[in-house]
Amino acid sequence: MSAVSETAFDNPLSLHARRILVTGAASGIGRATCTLLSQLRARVVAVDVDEAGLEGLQKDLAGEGHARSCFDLEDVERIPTWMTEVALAGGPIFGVVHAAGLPCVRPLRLLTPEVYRKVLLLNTEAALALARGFQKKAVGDPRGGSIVFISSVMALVGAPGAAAYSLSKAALHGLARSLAVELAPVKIRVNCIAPGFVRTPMFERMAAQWDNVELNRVEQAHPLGLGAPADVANGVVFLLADTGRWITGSVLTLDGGYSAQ
Amino acid sequence: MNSDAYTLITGASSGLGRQTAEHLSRSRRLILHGRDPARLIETRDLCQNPDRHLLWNFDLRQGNELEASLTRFIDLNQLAIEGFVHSAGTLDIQPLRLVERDSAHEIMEVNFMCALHILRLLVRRKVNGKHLRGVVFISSTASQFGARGFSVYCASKGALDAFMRAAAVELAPDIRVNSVLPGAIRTAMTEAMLDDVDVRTRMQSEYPLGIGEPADIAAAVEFLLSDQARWITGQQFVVDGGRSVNITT
Amino acid sequence: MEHIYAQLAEILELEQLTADVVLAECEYWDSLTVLSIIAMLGASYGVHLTATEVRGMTSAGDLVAAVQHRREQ
Repeated sequence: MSAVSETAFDNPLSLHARRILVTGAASGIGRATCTLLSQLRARVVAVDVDEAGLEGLQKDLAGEGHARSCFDLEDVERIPTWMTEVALAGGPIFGVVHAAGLPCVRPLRLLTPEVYRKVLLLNTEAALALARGFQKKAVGDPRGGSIVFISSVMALVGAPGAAAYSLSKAALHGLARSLAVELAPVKIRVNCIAPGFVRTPMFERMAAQWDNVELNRVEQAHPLGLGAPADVANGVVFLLADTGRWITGSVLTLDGGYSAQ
Repeated sequence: MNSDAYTLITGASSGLGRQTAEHLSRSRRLILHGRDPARLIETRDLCQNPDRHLLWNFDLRQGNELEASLTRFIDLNQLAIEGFVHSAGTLDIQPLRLVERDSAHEIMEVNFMCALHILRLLVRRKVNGKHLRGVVFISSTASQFGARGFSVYCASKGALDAFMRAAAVELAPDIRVNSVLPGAIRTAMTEAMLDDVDVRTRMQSEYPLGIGEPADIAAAVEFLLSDQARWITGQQFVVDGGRSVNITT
Repeated sequence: MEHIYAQLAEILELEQLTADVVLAECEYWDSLTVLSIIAMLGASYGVHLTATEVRGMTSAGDLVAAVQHRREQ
């Protein structure tokens, strides 16, 4: 029986001992992804600027063979070199999940280059740099690999004040499509997951500025209600494992039905 | 997942349906639907725990009799159906100028209308209580893109996906409805098309990850029906080896 | 088999089709038409030719002869 005949969830062997690098690992979607991967016996490389958060993550990780790296992804030029160091230290990397990101709610008249470039740097440029580092022979696993960019439903729909964020996330879709075609010959798959509104610290900070009416409206806009980080982590794992072996260049919209209506 | 409840798979006799049935049989009780009784039995024998699965033999082209046949089958066996996978589908590649009225009707009926008729029955209390939880339609990248000779097929899959979205919105939060959109995979339905060496060569270069296998699609169906996909609904899940994003040759 | 030339003519959008016509030179000769011909031969005559076989025919007469031969087997 081929490996794909087992699901990623009832066959942990599917991701067993595979090294997966996860950015934004200290909280929210990145954190939930690390936890789930560890339960499936993958070897997690947890990346974040939040050192205390990374420390706190350790107790949630099952199994062994994990690593952590307190690295500032805004230093995009250094990303490929840093990834080589990570690979040399612990072994080739099979998967990359870019879950780190900056939110941004800013009306256009206040959207100066200084503001939007910061958003683009972490959300988009870092993604491109991670892909560039990943395709290096010294970094990737010769069997191939899987890249997952966490984008957002805001890449598919619009809202006032969301221009910079939408821009930075929609760009990931175009990036993933061309990378998918370019890297297919070396067996690297590239996909996006576009989550809807998920209850993460990032969301809670944003929602704290809303009143109850607005919060209710956002919740109503999701036929299945607001999401949990674990919901997104499930989708990430599906794409990373052999269950996703014929999926590339796609956008998996994981949004409780938000974009269906 | 309710261990006494069943998952209905239409078109289980062959290709995609069979592979999907085999996958799902590891963890679910199935109702295998098809129009060829001998092939249905073959499919059941390929499944895990063959005795746990039921066979519903019915020709979906007999649209008028579907309601009676299905409701009778459910009533007779006292069934609770929690999952529905519409894998039945027919393909008839014809240039538009040669499309016949009957052929067009049949394609729309099997590929789309039957999915609608089965789903509307499964959400009726008198027929299936409140047991339904998850639905997956096997659509196609053809619902999004045109191709020569595929006019009616594309229309049928487009209708299926539009219906999927409406059903997802309406039936939330208790029932999730999604589509899987396969690219070209090797099955009996695509055999004739892939047999042409020119077509095959062209497709190999168009598909960044090559032509697919039914198991690739079955894995996606299984995921969408599972609890791991509890926050996914109204989604077109593309599984096509990167074909639809590729413009190089 | 008397209608076969008429059926092929319809698929190829020709006023009429004779045995000596070279298939590859027909305006509508392509992979799509080949599939339609295969479907028609299967449905009308119970003969199943592959795309490779059909493409290997030079003239309409060659194709009809192949169908006839296959039927007799």
